[in-house]
Amino acid sequence: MEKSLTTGKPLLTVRNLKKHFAVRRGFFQRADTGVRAVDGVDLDILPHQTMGLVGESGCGKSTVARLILRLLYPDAGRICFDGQEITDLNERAFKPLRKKIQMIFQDPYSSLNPRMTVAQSIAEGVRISGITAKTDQRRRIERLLDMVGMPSASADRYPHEFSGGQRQRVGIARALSVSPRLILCDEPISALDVSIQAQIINLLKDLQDELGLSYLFISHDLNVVSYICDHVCVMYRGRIMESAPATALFDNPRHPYTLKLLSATAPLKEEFRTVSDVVASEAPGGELSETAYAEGTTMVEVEAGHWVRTQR
Amino acid sequence: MSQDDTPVLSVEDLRVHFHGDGPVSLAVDGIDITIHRRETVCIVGESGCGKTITALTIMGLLPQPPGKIAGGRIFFKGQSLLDLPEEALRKLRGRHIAMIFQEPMSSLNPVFTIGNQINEAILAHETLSEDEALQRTLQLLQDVGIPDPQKRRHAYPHQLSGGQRQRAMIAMALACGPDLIIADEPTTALDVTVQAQILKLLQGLQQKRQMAIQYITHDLGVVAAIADRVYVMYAGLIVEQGTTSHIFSSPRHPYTRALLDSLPGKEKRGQRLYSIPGNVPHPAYKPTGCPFHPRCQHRQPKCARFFPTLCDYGEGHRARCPILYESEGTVGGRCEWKNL
Amino acid sequence: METRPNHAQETIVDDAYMPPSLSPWRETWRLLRQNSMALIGLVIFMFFFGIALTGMLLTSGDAPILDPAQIRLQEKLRPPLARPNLETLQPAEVPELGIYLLGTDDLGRDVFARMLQGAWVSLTVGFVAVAIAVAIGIFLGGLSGYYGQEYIQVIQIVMVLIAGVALWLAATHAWPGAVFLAIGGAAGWLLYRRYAGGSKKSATPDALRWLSRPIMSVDTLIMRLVDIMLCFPSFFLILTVVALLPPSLYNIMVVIGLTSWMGTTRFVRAEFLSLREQDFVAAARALGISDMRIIFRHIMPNAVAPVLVSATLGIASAMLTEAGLSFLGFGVPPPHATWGNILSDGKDFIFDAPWLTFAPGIVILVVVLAFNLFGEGLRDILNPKLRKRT
Repeated sequence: MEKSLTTGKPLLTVRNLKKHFAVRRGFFQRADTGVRAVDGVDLDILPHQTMGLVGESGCGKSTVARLILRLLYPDAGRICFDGQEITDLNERAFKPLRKKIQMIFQDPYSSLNPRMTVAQSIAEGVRISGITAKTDQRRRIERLLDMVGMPSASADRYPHEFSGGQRQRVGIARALSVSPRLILCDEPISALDVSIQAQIINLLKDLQDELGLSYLFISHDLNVVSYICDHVCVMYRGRIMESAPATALFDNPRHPYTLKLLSATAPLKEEFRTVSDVVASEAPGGELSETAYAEGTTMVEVEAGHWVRTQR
Repeated sequence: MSQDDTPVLSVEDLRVHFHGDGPVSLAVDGIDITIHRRETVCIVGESGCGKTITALTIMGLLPQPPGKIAGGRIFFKGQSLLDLPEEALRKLRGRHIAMIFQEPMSSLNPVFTIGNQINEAILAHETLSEDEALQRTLQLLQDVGIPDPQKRRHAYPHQLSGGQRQRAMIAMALACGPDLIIADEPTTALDVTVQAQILKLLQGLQQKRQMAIQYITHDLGVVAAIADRVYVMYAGLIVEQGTTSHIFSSPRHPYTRALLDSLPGKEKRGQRLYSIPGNVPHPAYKPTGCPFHPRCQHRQPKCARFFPTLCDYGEGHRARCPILYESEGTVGGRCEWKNL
Repeated sequence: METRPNHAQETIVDDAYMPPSLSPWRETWRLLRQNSMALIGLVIFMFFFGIALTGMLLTSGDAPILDPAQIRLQEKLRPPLARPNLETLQPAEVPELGIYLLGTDDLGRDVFARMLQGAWVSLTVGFVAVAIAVAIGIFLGGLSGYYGQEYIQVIQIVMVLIAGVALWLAATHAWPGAVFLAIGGAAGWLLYRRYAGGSKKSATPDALRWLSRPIMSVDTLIMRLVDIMLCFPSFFLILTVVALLPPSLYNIMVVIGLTSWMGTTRFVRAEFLSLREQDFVAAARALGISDMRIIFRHIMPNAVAPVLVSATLGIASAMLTEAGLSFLGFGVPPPHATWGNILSDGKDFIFDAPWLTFAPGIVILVVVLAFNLFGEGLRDILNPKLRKRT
């Protein structure tokens, strides 16, 4: 595949990213204790590549996306986009870069403004990308709708008239409206019907080939991740446990947490009744080595590109 | 399979309609389901296919209006549920049929401890002393794998994790030793590792307590893991039914096949996924004839004009597609089209 | 397996299987038609609006068609539907309708004409007062909901205090002090920005660090202000203020507006807090849309529903307050008729001429009831939980 040829300088580099959430208490709402949502995350996303970020709810994977998009501000760490550090930029200096990073959301019901037609929602981005004339804007909107497989007749309808899958397409069109290079996909298919999920996965792949996009694909569904991602990071309690090319990670997982996740996601056709004993035999609630995972301090490269957090 | 031939639950030609403004929604459009003792039966389908409505109707919890049972019968151990007065049904509910819901946080009352709620569930149906009820509660909490029941029974729902809450829900459902548990997507809101634990727990409890489980889900992975038999629903109809290996190894309906083909996985890397075109039909605006025909890759003109019946492939394996039946002709059995 | 080369063909949006298109406003109208109470309220409201408009046209100007101020002492306290006695009246004094629809008062003025004139007063008081309250409510509620987590620093409070004192000096015509304070404040601010307030905290000299210390969040400040305002019994607050100010229609409207914004503020804040967390707002921020556009284009249209409801209910209560004030004699000054002062004037003759109290009383009852019905209905209609979600 041509993908392997485009390796080289990463499009996005994240180093030692940290975000702690303060819990506010009292009459004057002073900050008290903290929750370590993201606790030192490193990522490298190459151009034209899909990076998977896998983990269970609350592990901080969505927070990583929001930090990269600067919807939240990190407490520590660096984020570089295309060689330029964006962590210290102020909002005005960051504005041109905003267009280069976009996001697709999990819930297609809350990700579109219910009081705006599809065309109005997409037009926000089209306007920002510098197209001013109304007719040009309209042409661009119809082109974008066509790219995501929506008929141009849908432009003047309101979001509540569409199904989840169609709304997700509109959300993708809105993200594409500013011609981004990196799209952060936060569980883009997990809220969709089973028969619709494949449509959206195929659409994302087609758009990647067509426009040379990079994705950060955040998901808890290992089947999807194993299909679509080139490189996968497994996250647990704000930290990355294992990071490897997708084939290596799924064929040869090294970290106990990765194993646990994999065994919980049984393959469908091969054998039935495979609620794996690895997971289920564990004392419920005891969560055997839970702290052990998080305690590991160093990442060790066990093979080329295959990093595992180990205890030392 | 079982010594007792009477099925725990049998649903015959159930039809549920919803009357709102606009056209009538045929939410459930004539379905038959049979569940025997000690059996796990999965009802699998997408949102709006009528699977939850079916469960609510069986429990007698269908909101009427707007819902309306337009036809069919439901038997629980040979007793017709739809003819029972509300009072008798209420006694049956919880004691003999119990339900587990998707969202444990909203189905547990936040102002009572879980011990309290389980206790209440027991005492609602049985006359026991406080002490006996407490012993039963502790035993139940132990059975569903909540550690240190003596202490945890004083916990409020918000103090438990999602998985623990679902375990507490299951303990409540088991309180009176029901013969049938209807589980409506109980693991959808949970993480995969917790989901695996809950599924394992349900399997263990079923073997121990000899009960039947009707498990409603949209997740084929869950189906493969726990089901004995599977009903695939689409647009208010059962389009295919059979044992788990029938459904996964030799599916006989285009919808089932397409669903299985469209699932991503590492073995499909580099290939293009098959995707079912179009959208799930709105229950009030269903296509004529076979409801799946607009999205079907085997469709023929007559699919829109005639209504397909269930075609028998033997061993209880049936699928609602005469086209595949003819092209893959299996011996024996009958299959036909019905005029609209 | 069949492969499809062009992804655009993979979706078939088949309109035959979709419910017909409905815009949010048409959906609202459809629901309104089903809610008969709200519809009745709306009809009465529109009817009253028409009456008030025609009333203003008929009773204003130099030579009004129906003159509410025309005194006919010989015709005082005539009952409703009485005909004027043409023999005792001057030609100019004969009422245009040829009948006293609602009788006359103790000075022989036509109650119907006075009611018409009062309708417009009630309406303007209701609308303007509520407009003021809603404007304040949206501003403060939006600020508290959207920027609520920002902290106020000591320096900002100091600057606001300086500006306040400068404005007060300016208002009392102490110009030199005002100018001195304004210039001093501005210079201090610039110096602070230059040497202390930059993004790099380390650069701030220790002596000035206390200036940038956060005190409380914007949300705390505004919501506690709301709590304080709610502690006053508002009618007595209004009475106090009105007693201090010269009586005029405008003072009444402004005072009612300034004392009734708290509910709206809370509504708007709650809406903003929940909408702010919605993904479409995150998407708008990701596109780089400015805060102002996000607030007014993306959040506000979704937050107007409860504001509309509380505004409708607010109009009713503002009209009641105005009537109450006029009844107590603190309202619109006498020659001008309002429902409140018709009622007030009539109370001395309640046994001799009950129509003087019943006419305004019943009209106030009906109109306020209509507004409340409409407001309650609107609340049901705009409640997203009751909406069809396909």
